[in-house]
Amino acid sequence: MPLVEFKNVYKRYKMGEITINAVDGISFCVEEGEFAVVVGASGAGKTTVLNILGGMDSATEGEILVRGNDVSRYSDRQLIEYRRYEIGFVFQFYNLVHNLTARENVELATQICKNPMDSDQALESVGLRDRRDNFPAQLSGGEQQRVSIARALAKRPALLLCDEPTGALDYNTGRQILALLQETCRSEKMTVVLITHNSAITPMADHVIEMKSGKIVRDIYNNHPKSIEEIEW
Amino acid sequence: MTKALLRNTFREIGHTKARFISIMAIIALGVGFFAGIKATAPSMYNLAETYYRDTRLMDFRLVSTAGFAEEDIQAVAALDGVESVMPSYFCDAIINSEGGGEVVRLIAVPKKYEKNKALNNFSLTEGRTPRKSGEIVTESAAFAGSRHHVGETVTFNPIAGENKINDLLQTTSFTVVGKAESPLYISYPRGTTTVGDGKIDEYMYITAEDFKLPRYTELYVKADFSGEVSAFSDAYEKQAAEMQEKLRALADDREAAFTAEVIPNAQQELADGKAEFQKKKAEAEEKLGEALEQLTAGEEEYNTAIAEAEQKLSDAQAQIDSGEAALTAGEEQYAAAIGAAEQLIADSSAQLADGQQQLEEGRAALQQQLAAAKQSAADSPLGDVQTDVMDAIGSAQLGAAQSQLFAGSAQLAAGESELAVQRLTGSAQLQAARAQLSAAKKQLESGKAELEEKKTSGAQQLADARREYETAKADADKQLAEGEQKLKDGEAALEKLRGLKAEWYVFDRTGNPGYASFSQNADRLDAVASVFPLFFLLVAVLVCVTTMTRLIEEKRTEIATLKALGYGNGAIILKYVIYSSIAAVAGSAVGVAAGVASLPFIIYNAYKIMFYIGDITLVIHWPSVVLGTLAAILCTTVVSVIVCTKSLRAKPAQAMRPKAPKAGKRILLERMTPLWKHMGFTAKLTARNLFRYKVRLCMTVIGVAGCTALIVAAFGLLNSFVPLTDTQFGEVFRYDAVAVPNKAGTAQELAYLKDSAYQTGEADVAMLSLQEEATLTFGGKSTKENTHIAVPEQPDSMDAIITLRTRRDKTPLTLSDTGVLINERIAADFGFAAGDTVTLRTDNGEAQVKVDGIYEHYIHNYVFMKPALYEKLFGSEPHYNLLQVKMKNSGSDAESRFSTQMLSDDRLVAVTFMRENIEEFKNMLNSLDMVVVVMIVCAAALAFVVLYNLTNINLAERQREIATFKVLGFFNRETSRFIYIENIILTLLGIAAGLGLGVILSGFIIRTVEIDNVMFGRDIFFTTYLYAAGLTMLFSLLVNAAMAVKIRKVNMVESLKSVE
Repeated sequence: MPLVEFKNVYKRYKMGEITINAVDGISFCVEEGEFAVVVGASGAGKTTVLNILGGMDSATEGEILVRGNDVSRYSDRQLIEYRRYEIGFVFQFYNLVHNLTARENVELATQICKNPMDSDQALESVGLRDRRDNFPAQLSGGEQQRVSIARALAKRPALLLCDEPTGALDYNTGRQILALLQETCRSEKMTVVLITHNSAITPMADHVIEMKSGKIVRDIYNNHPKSIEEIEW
Repeated sequence: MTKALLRNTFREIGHTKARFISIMAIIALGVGFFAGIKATAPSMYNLAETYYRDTRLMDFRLVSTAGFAEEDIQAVAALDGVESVMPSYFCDAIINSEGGGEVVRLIAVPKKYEKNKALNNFSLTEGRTPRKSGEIVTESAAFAGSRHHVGETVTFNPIAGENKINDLLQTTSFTVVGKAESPLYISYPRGTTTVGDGKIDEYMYITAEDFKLPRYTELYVKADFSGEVSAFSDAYEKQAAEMQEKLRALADDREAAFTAEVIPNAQQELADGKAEFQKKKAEAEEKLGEALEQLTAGEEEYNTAIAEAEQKLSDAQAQIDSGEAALTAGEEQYAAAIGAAEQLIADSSAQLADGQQQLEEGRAALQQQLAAAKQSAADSPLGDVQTDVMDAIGSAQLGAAQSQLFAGSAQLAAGESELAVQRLTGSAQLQAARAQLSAAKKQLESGKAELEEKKTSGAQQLADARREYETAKADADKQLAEGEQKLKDGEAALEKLRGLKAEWYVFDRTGNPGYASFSQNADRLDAVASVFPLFFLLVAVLVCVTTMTRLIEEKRTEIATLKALGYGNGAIILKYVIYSSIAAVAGSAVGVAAGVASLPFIIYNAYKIMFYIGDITLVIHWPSVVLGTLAAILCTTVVSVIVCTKSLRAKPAQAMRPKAPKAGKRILLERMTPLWKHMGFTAKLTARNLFRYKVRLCMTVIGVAGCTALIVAAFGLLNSFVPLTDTQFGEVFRYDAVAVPNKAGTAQELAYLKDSAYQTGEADVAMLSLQEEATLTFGGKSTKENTHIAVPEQPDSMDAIITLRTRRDKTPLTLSDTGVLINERIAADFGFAAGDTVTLRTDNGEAQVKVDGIYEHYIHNYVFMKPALYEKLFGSEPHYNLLQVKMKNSGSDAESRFSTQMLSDDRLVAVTFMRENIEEFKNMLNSLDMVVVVMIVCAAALAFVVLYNLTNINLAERQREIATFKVLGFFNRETSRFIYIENIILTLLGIAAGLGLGVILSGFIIRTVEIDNVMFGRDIFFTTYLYAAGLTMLFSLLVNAAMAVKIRKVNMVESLKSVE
């Protein structure tokens, strides 16, 4: 059984008389331990898919099964618990709490889950152990994003969802982050779903889902995903 | 400013309703409070002014120890600046004990004096004005008004202090015909008197004719300026002071005149009186002498007249007697004469008859001769002729005989008729004589009767005259005696006058009980009005700063865009200036409307417990409205300009990028590693957040502190009333009843009072007490009214009746032989303490005395001392004037048993019970609850505005953070907690600050609203702090609850999408 299964999922927005299908009846699966990349131009509906998957948004129609449970039928509370125990999020703009140090930002996540990673260990795994007592403002963008990843990883989530994690970073730093994510996926057997508009990085993924105007136009598996060092763009 | 920008401004308001409203609300609160309270004092002043103008309240009241005469009144009326004068009468009397025994000031119904219009016109609330003797109008003020009803009878006690009521009034029983409010008494104090227990309970009006006083007792003066300048203004006070000086100077003249004129005048009058008396006496005596002479003369005349009359009568009698004798003689003569005549006639008649016989015989013979002759002749041819001649010769012979007979007969007839005539005349003569006699007799009789009558009537007249004389004499004697008495009285009066020194007292309006306190209250209110809004304004500025800062920060991109489009800084700033000014103007408008329409009435309603001068009409104090609004606009716009200018300093390109979030910083607390380590995660976050936004911290703490302080002050005000009733009458003054004797006296003289109190079986402890009006002076300050010397008869065992102790630690205080104990209020006002020396002045003199201690006391001022000390200070044994009684049982049954039994003694004037007073007082204070409610509502509004605004901004600023928490899987509860805990900590800080502030504020308010001669409680109860903290916490939690909804609504997707 796949870890995630979208079955004919729609997300419609009503703008007056017009109904826009941000997600237009898509179905796909993500297996456990997979590094999946959803790729598409801006406005293709990929972020909506991620939000629905992350329990931050709800689908208008269709089933979203995670480990066989239909997330789309979850109550608000169940959704919160789902986010709390199953999901780790990494955003384009990191969304760190500015008033907390790097370690405290990680602790913010660890204090609410059942079996968290030690926060220092989480920071070590992203290579920021030495900077753990720094506030976000004292860290570079890449470092902040690594803290953000550490925070997500520390929860030991079933799914790590990354929304354009390199969008705000320069090329090299972006690569480092992607490498970190790929590394984590491999070593921790973490299932990662990553969204990007940059199709150049699709070769590193196990599973590539390409979207266009709310629909899936391509859903393929790379039999031989490349490591980030092998890709240039 | 382009149209588009203007439209944008108005749309901005639409989009940021909550913020706009919060600025508006805090400004409305501040400006409304300011304008509302500021409008109260002018409204109160206006009310007093109109009332005084309408009732023609006097400006000065003149009272003289010797009263006023017409000359005095004329002299005052002639004074420059006097508009009108009105002499009047007053006296103090006690209602008889069945009627309640209240001390009443009786005042003459205002009446115009000559051309002067009447002053101090009372307004009737019921019934009509007294028109004739025996009619009375009572006062309608709440506490006194309920005692008497129209149609009832009010009877006064025969004794009124040192006077008998009959010397003061024409009648002692009056029918209530109406109820009135006097402009002389606008508040509850009624002043003091020497009658009864020394305190006037109520005033009443009767007609001037009902006063039995020789001279006017008071003289009211109205100055011409009082119609022109407002009653409480400085101009009035200045002119009044000048006028008072003039009156004072005139008073000196008149006082001197009294000694120089009145006494000599009286002396002269007395001398004149004496002279006149002597004159009158002489006159009267002379008149009496004359009358006596006349009387004697009359008597003599009478006697002579009687004697004369009697003589006359006896003469008449003699005459009558002689007449009678003559008559009898006449009669006899008459009878004899008649007899002789009759004899003569009878003889003549017999001669005649003989003659007749002879005639007849002659005839017959003749006829025979004739016939024979004839026969003879017939035979002779010459017979015929012979016969004829013979016939003729016979006939002639016969005829001659017949003629002879006839002549005899005629002679007889003549004799007879003569006799008849003689008889007739004789008889007539006799008749006449007889008639004359009888007339004379009758005359004599009537003369006799007349004499008798005259005799009696004369005697009567004489008797009457004598009586008249006697009466006249008696009258004259009496009048003389009276005159003498009058002279004696006059002498006594003169003696008294000589002893009397005319001393005039010139009182201005502040001498009216309640007049000064009215303006003082209005002024105090103004003082409060100046402090509160300042606080609100401060909070308004803070709210404005945070709100505008946030708004401008949010609009950073827009500002940059506008700048990029080429708008000038001025135009951009103007947008926010307009935004904030609209908020300020709208807030001010709402605040002024609400504040001015409600606060003066709510506040004045509380004052109406104390003042009886009608209802206020609103007078808006425009300067404060304008000032408040301007302050509000200024604050908001200045804040906007400052915040905006800061933002505008950035280059457009820089500004268009999101502002870097405020960097996290280590706070001082973290340096205390052990503590920090032990803090929970949330606590750490909260701690850092709290110190991250210092302005917000200040604003919240100040706002919340203000809220708490207001509530503390509100409840503190209520607390401050508690000692007025519970402590004052439960712990300090512990007696239940007061019995007033009709005459003050020494302990021995009033021993009966105590005995009868114990005899009722209801009294537990009874103690005689002297309460005497006194003036206390210390450091140049003197008490004005309601200050008494109190002398307990048994100072050592007075505890059950009155407990003297310190307020703070309740240490009992005892009276010493050398010093006095004084209550806290005067001590605090005048600034003296134990060990200082104060001056006491009473009617009996002046004395200096050491203060032993300051005792807890709340209502009025009492200087307690031992009887011995009183005697030492004032030189006379204390004359106690009341009996204070602690009862065995409380309740109206025991009270009525006690008073009925006590009042059966005529020497008692009144029995009053404290319970009634306390109830009355409590009811009075209850109406102040409204003020407390207003304060709590304001406090709540303040708390809501501040906390809501703050939390709202907090949320807006931290939306991303909150969304992050949500994404991380924090429950709503957990997310909210981050915000709540901050709020709660700030609230707690605010409460802590507010409790402290509240103590200061409530102290200030209490001292500000404190009535003269009454000390409000100073202790704030623990419960007040609890209420204040609890209510503030509740408001805070309510705001949090409102915020919880907002937190739940934060949309993660939208919030985290990207940077706006």
